[in-house]
Amino acid sequence: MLLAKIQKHFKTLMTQPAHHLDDCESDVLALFEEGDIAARERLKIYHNNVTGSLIEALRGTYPIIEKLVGENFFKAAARGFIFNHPPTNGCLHEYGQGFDIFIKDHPPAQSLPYLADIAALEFALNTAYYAPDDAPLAPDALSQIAPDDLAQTIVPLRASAALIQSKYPVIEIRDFCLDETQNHKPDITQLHQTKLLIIRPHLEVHLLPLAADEYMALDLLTKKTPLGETVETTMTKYQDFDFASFLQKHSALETFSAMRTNTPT
Amino acid sequence: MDKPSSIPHNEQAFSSCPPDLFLIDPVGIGLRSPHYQEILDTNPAIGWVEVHPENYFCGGVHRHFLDQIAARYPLSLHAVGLSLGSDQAVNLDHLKQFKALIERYNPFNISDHVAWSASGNAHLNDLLPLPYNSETLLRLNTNIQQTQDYFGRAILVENPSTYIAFKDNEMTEPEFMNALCEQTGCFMLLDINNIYVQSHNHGLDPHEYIDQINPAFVREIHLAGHIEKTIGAHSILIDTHNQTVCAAVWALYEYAVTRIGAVPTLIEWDQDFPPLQTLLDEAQRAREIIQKAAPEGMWHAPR
Repeated sequence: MLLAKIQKHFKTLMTQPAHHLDDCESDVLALFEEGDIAARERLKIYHNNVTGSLIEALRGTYPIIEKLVGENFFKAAARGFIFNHPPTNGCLHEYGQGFDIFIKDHPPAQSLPYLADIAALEFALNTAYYAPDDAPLAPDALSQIAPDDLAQTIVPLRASAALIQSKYPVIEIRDFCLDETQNHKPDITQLHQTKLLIIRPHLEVHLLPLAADEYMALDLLTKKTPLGETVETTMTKYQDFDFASFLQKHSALETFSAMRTNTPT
Repeated sequence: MDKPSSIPHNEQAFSSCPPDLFLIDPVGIGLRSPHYQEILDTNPAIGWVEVHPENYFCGGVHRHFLDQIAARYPLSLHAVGLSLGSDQAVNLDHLKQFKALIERYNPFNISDHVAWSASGNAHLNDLLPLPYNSETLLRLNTNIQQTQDYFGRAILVENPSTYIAFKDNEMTEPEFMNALCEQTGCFMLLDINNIYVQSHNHGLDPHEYIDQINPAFVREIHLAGHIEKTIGAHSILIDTHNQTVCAAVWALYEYAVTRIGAVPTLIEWDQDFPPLQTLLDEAQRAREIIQKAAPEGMWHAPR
């Protein structure tokens, strides 16, 4: 059998539940030496290694989800995800994108409606942790742009930046899981307006609660909206939006990237 | 049995490419995140460190620590994601990110495995087995050459641990490894634990395996631990890298060093991490074996 065909068969066996190995086609089994241990049993070792390493990768990225649902539930959900979404590259720490969407539709998880948002938060934290080390915008960089040009300037956020919003108290849920001594259970019945910026200015990932207008302005900036239009659009919804304070605060927090896409000349 | 004297084969290999050598304590350890701070704080006497480049492709804490540790110790980059044995070209994005690290750290060795992980768009995150025949040899040759051309330097390829064997093997694993080196100009990363695992799992003689390896190709040795799994009345060894090196593998290492010489040797550990001291003790044991076999003046690695 050709190498391509062997690898395709192998891939199929590794990316479906282990019980499929029991009805593995005989022409595939015929590729292998039998010896003391049956080929089927030997293939199960590979299946176990592949799924085991991917479950570990997901546990590393989603520790809060695992705390919330318990080890067995987590492993079962992880298996379901793995067979539907095998990794597409050799960088394991990037693996797990889309687990939030998977868990949202995962029938056994329906009683915990906040899980998807926690998963999105955990993936953003992991992405920020491994993001490229880009340089922040110098504090005086915007003041050096001619006032006439400022409105047209596009200010991208740092490579690590992600915006998260949820109607659940995701920070309180996370803190509750991280701190074993805490006994104040977050109230998930109340409607929340959680808006967050995840960012890694240097080595540590920060999780910053945002006001609604601030969130909207940052969200517009991530969509490459020029500064002028960002202010206008934000102010149509939030008349009290203080643009000067916003710029000052996020320059100090090093939210903006030094890589400007359209520096006017 | 024809045993060559300790060093000359190796010296010849080292002087071929790249040309210059530097003195090195030949024993290193795998650098993993639980030990970053302790290594910086205590400056342990190890010859070199090795990392999986895939963990450092972007930025953040890992690269911050690697920058500092690589400034103190020679570094080797041991990849797990090139998937050289896949029946498709090596992923260009992976090569690009890998090359950026090579340029940043100037490692003395660059390596990956004689195995495959990727098929189509799926990357199975394991080192999967290959049939040892002319088709596989041709495919690996193409991918190794693509990689070496892209990096502008030779790479090392590691002999695998496998749990299943193909019926249509046309050559033995050591023959296959030698052929790869002969045909592509790459070198060999000889994992002694993997030779032990292969011998147990497929009924080979590990000494014969080592005898078949052309010592001139060996640029690095790996030592690690495995576990034994019982299936029915039989047992199979799994290459888990979560144990100390077993007595039989130490004995095999001593045999290999006598044959191959003071090749840079790595203590490798990838899960259930022990205290750093355990790795340092294992490294010392390897160092003592090398000291018996090769005088210190012969400890070199290519720059």
